[in-house]
Amino acid sequence: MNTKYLTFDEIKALLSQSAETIKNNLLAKATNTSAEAIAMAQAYALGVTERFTVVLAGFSSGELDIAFVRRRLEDEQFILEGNFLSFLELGKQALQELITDVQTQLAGILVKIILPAPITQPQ
Amino acid sequence: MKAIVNLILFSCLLMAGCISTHISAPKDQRAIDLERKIQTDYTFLYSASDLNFTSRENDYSKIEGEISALLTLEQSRPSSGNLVTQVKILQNMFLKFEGEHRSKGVINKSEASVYKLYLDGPMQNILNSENGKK
Repeated sequence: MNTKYLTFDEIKALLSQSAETIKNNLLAKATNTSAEAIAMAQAYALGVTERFTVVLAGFSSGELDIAFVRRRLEDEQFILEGNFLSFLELGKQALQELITDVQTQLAGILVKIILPAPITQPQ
Repeated sequence: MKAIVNLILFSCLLMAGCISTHISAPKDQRAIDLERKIQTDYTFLYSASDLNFTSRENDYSKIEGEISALLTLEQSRPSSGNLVTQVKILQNMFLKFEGEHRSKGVINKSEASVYKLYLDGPMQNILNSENGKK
């Protein structure tokens, strides 16, 4: 059995997929669904993709260690709070669920990078 | 009759109070200038060729002072609730990065780029809120 490491494009595709889920979950929780709210959700989804593309690229190249990446994962909470606590009229409970959702999505990608998927050798 | 007039006056005052809390603070050029300065200064800090904390300590102190000044300014403005929250978020993140840099001593280019990127998030929110004011 061999292992397969994700390519940079595969990481980006995973992040992009997560960003879409994050955006949809965010809008599903928001009580304010104005055009401004939708634009903010899209901007956050793009922002989180951009940030984590750079973070994971640094991790993949060995310049960033896992503790650093985990701390940035925690920082997403601050950015979400700054973006959405007042503007999207999210309650504390909904915001906490959203933070957990974002961190779980990003941690899921991180695990895929740390633990490469096993591939079976052709017989 | 007097009671009715008083009731009307009281209602008017109550309405005025409610309205005034929903009127956002006007755009403040001092805040915009300070925000731009903070952004320029942390960009300069994290793009420096020498990323030894000892060499950069003065830059950190300068930016810390600017963020504190911005927070004081926002707290003194009427109805700037969102901005106060956002500046506090920026301040917390900046102090966290300063603490990480201090304990590590020297950071590499990737770490510096990520710090800048993470400060850009709350800073962009602050600038958007500021520019949204009339």
